[in-house]
Amino acid sequence: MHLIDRYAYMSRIRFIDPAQKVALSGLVIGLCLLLDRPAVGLVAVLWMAGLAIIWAGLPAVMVGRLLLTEGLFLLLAVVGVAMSLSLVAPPASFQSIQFGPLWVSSNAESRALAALLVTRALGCAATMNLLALTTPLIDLVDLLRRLRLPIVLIDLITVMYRFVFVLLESLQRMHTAQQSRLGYATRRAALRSSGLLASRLFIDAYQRSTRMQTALESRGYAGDLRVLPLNYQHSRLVYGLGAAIAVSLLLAWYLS
Amino acid sequence: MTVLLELDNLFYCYPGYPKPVLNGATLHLNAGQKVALIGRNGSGKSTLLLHANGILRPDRGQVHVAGQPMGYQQHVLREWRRQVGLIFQHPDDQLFSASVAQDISFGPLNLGLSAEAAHQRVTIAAEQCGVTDLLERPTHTLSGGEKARVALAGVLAMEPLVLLADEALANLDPWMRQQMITIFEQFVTQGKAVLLATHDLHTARTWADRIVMMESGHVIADAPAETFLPIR
Repeated sequence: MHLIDRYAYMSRIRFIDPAQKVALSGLVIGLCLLLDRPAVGLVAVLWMAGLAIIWAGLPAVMVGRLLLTEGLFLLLAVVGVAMSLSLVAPPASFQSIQFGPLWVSSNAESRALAALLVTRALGCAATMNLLALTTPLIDLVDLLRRLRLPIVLIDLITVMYRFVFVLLESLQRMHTAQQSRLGYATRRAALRSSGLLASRLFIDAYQRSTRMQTALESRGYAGDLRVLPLNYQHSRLVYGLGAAIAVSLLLAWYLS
Repeated sequence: MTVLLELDNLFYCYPGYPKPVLNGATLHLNAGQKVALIGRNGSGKSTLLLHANGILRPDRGQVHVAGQPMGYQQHVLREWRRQVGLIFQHPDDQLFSASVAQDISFGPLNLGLSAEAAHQRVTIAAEQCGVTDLLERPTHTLSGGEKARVALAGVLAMEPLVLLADEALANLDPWMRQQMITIFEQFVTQGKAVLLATHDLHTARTWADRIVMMESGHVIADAPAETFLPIR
């Protein structure tokens, strides 16, 4: 969480209007889902990784590692789609290997479906990576405010986001305090300490929320968390990028 | 000398607790005064400050701000909280917004100011507290001292007459504490007043004009700082 947040704040395109970034992401995800060819997903991955590194200035190694991790995860997830296990011999149209009584088989159709699933999901994941690593949550919340979503929902997201970090700090402090008193010295002690930590964290969250309510009231809180809107830059480049990406994805679909 | 805040014979008992936390507490704060409120844990300091800001309503007694007896209707409370600002020991309890500028703007917008006027208040308060360069930063990335100054800016942006600080200097390093004290000094020179609840007797003696001591829910001593004897 801290890491994603840090990259989002460091990004060169941090101040571009989140509405534009969300629209661009929506366009790419929409095309990845609509155009059912593996090449579309691959082109989307290349675009998004390129934009993350060149446009947003994110470290190439981090972007590569992230995509690799997601890719491996997706590959593992589609093994079941590409291959099937059976105790009876598969039809002749299937490529198969026999391990004792067990048959592992696969055919061109299932492999194509697995490839489509992986590339499509990876294209979407790369798009979400770009959005998440260049847009802090407060910008997305600000966008929700502009979209006139219910104030209660927006206030809730704002406070939850703030509390994630406050509670993470508490968690670390309590964990260190437990460690210093041999709270994690044995497996049994670790289990007990973890349980105590979870219950204590719940109480801590409740107490903090009460204190926050008091602090908000002292500054005139009357039911909604009114704050100044943030200022963003409107980038014309985003329109050009959107058009170029759409054309390239359509071409990839048409040519493959 | 103009009396900015008067807490007159306050009694208060938290629901479910048999013993009153405030037991006839009386305190007044004049314009241009720096007052330190000292006392043991549980003596009623924080509860008294919550009464001064209208968070708690006394069972008996009266609070006056700038000579006006205070009511507890929503519109009256808004004006009350504009005049009496309160900062807390843990700034994390006060900072709710993701960005510093947004957090500071919360109070001014609650006062009904326009976005432009609120923005102006944010700029001035940030400058007073030396957090101008932090305005775009997310609150969770700030250090303890930065959070304390941002929390103070959030209150100063409401332009209060009286600043109540509930152990706001605790947990700060000496340099950061000095910066906060300097901000308090600047605040007082504008004809306003600061009431600082603290356990730090050195700060109380060296910084305050007056020291008020509480015990068991009432004020047991109220004297100029220079006449206050060292406590052993």
